[in-house]
Amino acid sequence: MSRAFLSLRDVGVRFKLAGQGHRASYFEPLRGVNLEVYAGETLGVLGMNGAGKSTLLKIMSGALRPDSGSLTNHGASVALLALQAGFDSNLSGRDNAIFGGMLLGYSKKQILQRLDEIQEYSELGDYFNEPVRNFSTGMASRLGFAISTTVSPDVLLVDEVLSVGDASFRKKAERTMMQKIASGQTVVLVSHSRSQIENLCDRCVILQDGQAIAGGSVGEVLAIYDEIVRAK
Amino acid sequence: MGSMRQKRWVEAATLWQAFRQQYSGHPTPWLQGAVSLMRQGHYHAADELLAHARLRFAQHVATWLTCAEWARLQGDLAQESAFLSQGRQQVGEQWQLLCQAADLEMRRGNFAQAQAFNMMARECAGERCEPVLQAAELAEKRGDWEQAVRYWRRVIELKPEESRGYLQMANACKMQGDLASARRYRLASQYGPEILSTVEPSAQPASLSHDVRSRRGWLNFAGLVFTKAILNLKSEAARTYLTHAWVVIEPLLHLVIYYFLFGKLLNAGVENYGLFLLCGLVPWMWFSKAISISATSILGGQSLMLNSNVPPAFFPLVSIVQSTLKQLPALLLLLLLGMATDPKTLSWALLYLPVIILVQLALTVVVGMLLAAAVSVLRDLANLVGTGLMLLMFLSGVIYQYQTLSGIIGQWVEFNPMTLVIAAYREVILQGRAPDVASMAYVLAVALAGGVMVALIYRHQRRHFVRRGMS
Repeated sequence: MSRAFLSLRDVGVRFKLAGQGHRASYFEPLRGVNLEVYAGETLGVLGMNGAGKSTLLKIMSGALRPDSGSLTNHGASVALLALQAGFDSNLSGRDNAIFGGMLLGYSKKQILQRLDEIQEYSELGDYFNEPVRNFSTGMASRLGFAISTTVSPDVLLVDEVLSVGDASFRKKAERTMMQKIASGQTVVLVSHSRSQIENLCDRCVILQDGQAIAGGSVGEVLAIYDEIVRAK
Repeated sequence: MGSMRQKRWVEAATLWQAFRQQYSGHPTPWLQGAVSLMRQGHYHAADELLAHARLRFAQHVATWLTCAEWARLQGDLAQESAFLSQGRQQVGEQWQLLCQAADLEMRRGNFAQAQAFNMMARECAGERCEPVLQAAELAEKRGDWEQAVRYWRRVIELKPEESRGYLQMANACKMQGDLASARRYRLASQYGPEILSTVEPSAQPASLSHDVRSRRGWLNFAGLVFTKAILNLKSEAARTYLTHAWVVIEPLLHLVIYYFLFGKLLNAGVENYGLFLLCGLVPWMWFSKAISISATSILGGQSLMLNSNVPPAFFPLVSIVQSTLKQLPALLLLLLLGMATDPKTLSWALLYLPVIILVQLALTVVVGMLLAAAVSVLRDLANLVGTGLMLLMFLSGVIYQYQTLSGIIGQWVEFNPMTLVIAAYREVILQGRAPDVASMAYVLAVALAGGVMVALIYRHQRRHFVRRGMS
């Protein structure tokens, strides 16, 4: 097995619910999760709504610290593919692209060099210089995706974002994503689509009741998943 | 031939018959006519045409291939073999015939012989894809996946547009245990071969959270803060009609109101009270605006912190840089006003002004960051910021001379760094004197002590800044 980028040991996350009454109740999206992300693999994460998939990605990205257990990052850069993070609707697509790119770690100079590329990829044309508030939802997410594709961190965390824009752009976005995967990018992919996981992933885990269920192969895990879905 | 494409074989056979009379010197009507008959099951009739073709068109590869097919369809392996070798004698070693021969040997289970034919086919086929494809299939039949991968790779090289090659390649890689390559080729079969060209990131971005201590990380972080501050100002301006003019209009209105209201109407007995007041108000407005927007900045940056690696310090720093840039014109206005109304303003002591500004900036950064951290942990504090600033304004000697305060309050007020900063501005602008070194040093010491706290808190307490929740 190749080397691990991220190791999760007994990771637990809990937070207080603002419930009625005085008794504080807690919610634990993750309990005792053990997981490893290896270099070059595509790891699929399946689970029902509210199973803690997004929380898991936030733990991996370092945005959230676990309340128990630990996350060890073996020197990898990790980024969540978050479309439109930090968008300011009063600013033009260009300005948002500059800030978005810098937020992903580029210097201003580097991002200025890539602006044309981003504009072309987003297919926005002259709208690129319009304030984002004048964009349609699809246009905004196209811009977001165009900015995000410029990065190649060691580990890319993807949370159901492959459905952006209209059919033709979605195809393009998907193709770009596949190109990253095909060229050996380490990806953790959260998806509800069973077929997508089957097609793309080397390994797969299910989050169920805060715990990670792993299995030998993708096929085995998917069989368990089908059972869980049926039992619902 | 539309009718052949649509598999209307009877019609096709009749048409070919007509063509045979018209173009009797061409092999095609004979061979295709035979094919049309074979498809209908009329093997005997087909054989008659083929026999004729063998006599007249023995130099054509297609003749022998069609004959071999005729034999194959009847299940007569020996006859098929005979036709093929006869053809090779007539036409010479020709890859289509060799491939067919290899195929025949494969069907007979005679892999060694098949391989020999295939190798010959590949030798005389040059850049043709089919013999290589057959070689790959042969390797697969033998279970030699390593060879199979080699041949499929060659097939892909020769015919990159054919998706079947990628799929077979994926399968061969999988059988060999190379799952990553298997996925690469499987994706290529679905999304097209461009996927195989690796994406070369032209520049590796610095990760904000990890490299923030390296020099490049620092530069990137500082660039990010400044860019965001300027973009925020731009965004603010974009929301109004007068846009950037507000940067000057707003503080100017402030100054005019205070100048006339306090300076002219409610003159408190201080000499040149209008300018005195403005020397307090302008720095105070800067401080107070920076603090009030940075206080809630981390709270407002929750979603960005959850979705990117940006460190929490980013948010109060942006607020402070933003309000600093916004208040600089006011400071310039103050200086111009001072020079216009008071001859003492223009003196060498003005050189101290940048020092005072930097000291105030340091103090603002420390207070703003501490408050932002405190508010992000205990939201309720946000409601007290406005009142607290109001109280602090009265305790900073903004609208009066703090030295005139008597008793214990007067003594305590001297410990308020903002009082000392404002006094320093007045000394420089009103009196043309150097500021008090001891009080400046005191303010700097307070800022440094706070700075240590800020560093500790921001380095170790990040988890408390991010609100926990499912979103």
